Amino acid sequence: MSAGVAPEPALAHLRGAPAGRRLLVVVHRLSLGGVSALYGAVAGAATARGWAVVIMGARAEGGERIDWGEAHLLAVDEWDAGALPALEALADEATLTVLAVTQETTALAPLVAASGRAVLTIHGPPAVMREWLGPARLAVLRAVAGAHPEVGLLVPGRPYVEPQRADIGGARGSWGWMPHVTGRAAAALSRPGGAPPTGEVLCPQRLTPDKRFVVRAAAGVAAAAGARLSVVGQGGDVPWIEEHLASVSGLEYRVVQDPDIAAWIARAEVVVGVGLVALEALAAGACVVGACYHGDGTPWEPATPATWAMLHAQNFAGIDARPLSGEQVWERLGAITAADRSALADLVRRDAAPAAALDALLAAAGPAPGRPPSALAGAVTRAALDGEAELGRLAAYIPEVTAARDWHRARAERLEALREARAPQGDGAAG
Amino acid sequence: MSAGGLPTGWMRAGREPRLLVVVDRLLPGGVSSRYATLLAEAVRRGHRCLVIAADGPARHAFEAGGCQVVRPAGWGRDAHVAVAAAAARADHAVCVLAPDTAPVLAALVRTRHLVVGAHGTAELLGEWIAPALLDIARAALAQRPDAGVVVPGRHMERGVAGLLAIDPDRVRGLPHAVTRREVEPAGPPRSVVPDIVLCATRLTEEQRPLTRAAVALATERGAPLLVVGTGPDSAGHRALAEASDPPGRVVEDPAVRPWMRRASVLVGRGLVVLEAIAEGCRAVCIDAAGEGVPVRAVGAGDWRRLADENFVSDDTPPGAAAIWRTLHRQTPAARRELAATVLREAGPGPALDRLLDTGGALPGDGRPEPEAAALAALLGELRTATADASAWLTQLTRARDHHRDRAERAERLLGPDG
Repeated sequence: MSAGVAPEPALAHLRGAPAGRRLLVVVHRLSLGGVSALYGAVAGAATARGWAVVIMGARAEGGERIDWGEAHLLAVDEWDAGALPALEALADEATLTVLAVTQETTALAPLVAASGRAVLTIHGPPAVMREWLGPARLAVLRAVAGAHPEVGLLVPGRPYVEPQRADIGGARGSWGWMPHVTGRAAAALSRPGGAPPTGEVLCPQRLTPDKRFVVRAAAGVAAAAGARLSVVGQGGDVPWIEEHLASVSGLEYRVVQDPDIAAWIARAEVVVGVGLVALEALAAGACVVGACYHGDGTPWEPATPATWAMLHAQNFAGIDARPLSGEQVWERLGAITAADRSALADLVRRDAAPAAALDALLAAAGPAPGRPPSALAGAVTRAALDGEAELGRLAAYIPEVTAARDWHRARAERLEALREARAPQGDGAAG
Repeated sequence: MSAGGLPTGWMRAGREPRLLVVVDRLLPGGVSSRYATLLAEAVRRGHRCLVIAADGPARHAFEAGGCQVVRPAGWGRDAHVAVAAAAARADHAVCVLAPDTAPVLAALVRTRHLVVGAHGTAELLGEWIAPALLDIARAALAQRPDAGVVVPGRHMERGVAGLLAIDPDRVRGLPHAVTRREVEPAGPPRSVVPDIVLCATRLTEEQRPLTRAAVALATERGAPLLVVGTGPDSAGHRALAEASDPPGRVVEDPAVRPWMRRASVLVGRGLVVLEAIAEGCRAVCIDAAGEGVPVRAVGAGDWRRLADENFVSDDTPPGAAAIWRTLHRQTPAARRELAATVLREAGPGPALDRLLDTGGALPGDGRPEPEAAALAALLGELRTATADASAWLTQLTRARDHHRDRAERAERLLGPDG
């Protein structure tokens, strides 16, 4: 179990605002990624309205690159039972607590739901979340949704609501859509004058398995026009990405491990991406193509002023949407004018401003529940958190040991082959 | 079978009382034999009995008694779902505490009548079950102040109460439920034999106090000592036995019963003492502090109390010499009378009565607290996945070390120029 973290400074920060204007956001990691960026932007909007915001998560690389606004960051070593007392101290009836659900944080959901006004946010397409969370975690969320109709449940795409509700349950009124937003649209990402276009298709994102459908869509777009594809970001899924791109006939590609995807977006002409990436690319004046999540991923509509509302409502990751062929995508891209790009940047500033996400959170949260969490649920939560952390540690160690095994095996085979090759010569010389 | 893998008979409405027992694994040993006998008695009285346990060879003993056995593949989510579904229909539920079953208490906590079986000393259970899992058991018992705890002997009551943070009044010794078959003499009446001390025990580190007590008794009299049983600590028991005067010996034999006919005094615990009495063998119990001091010769007057205490007494030790004097006063007629009483009275009836009478009943539908139960099922999944990952990691580590050794060997053989 990790050492606990003192909640007092965060508590003092929250209490700097009146009850009812305190926001606690619980994320898995304070890392460089779409969820962190989203809540950083939300924190900015909330602070501007006089709220006090604490964002709590596990310490992670890249978090310092996120604009957290005036939010107070509370970093724990990891989400095991050692982190729980701090969360219990912070999440109270005077605070709106938002839990971004992941494998590692699902066990916190009953505690968060019973602590005060609460919203659970689920940041992925339903099929991805179903596979990622698995039946046992979904059952925990189902139990929370059943026991706490006052808890808001938000997904990042309007069409995601019903499929996600089918997995988790809960009253229809508890569910809603939280648009993805960016606080950087206004200034930081506007295309620098004279920046040379790259003449390629860019797919900038976390390089993780849940984003494979975007890589597939991007490969389809690039291959159709014979353009080079650059997949840029950080993550452990590079071997799969390399293998997949190599299998696409005639595709010229590169995979670049670089956490600074904003710099790539600023120079891009055509970006295939979802979520925050899509918004930032539009704000930067690039053309953006969404991706359909159909299990394997296909290109979707390019963003135009006419398709913007539909794409934004689905977080640029369509489910049950009509996919396009690469050729159809290029045909539509060819019709996009400079005025369209400018209009799209304006739409991002208008519809994807951080206040929109904050409003969605505030609208979703019902009243505080009447009953506190049971001691039994608390004891099981602690054990489950420790279980998640232990499994996570083992899972992280397995690739390391696998690589070491493969390295030693290859070395042993090399040395044994060398020895075999030398042995007859040695025998011959002796004879 | 119905949904959740439960027998349809269990889920179907019926008037017969339903008794659910949750055990981690059905391994041969005292726990399985005790509950198999108890449940057979319950079936005889018209109860419907269901055991949920990961597989184990002892399941046949339960099935032979008319009990239904559900064997989930491990203690993941499916097992928790099955327990929750079964608990909703149960009138009585018993959860035998173990690392895998402690989280299951979250699914059982609203059963109408709940009993936790703690079959070990507080020290053993505290070592075996991780603190986070014990916390779940403590929270469940705090949430159900009417739930009782049974232990194999009264000497464990206080320690287990401390471990589970409950009032000692809630913990009760569960008598051995022995069948006539188990305690009937195996052969004709025994002949007169010289004083030979027999210690029948599993050869584990935890059971060393028994051998120590037998050594003390045998040495006092200068009697030969035999330690009979099987287990991983035969060397430890052998070292103790050889310190006896004359040196005792250890016989690794799982069949203890025939050896009783060659001895005159038995030092042991539980069922083996009842068997010894039935064989006309004199029996001695040991002290509750676990230091291996012989305390009392089991006599007609107090055998039932000692049976409740699993033949471990917290009486003041009178000394081995005094015990021998008592043993020698026991006439063959008195021993025959005691054996007859044991056969008549040590049945499973009183044990089942005690089990069903432990703790109180909760009005309600028996359905678990959904969030705690769902979290516990997740915990079960995580424990299973962690065990799998750990096993895989062990294999990988071995393979890595093997290839590293191969490489180093090849490098050495290539020599410095290689």
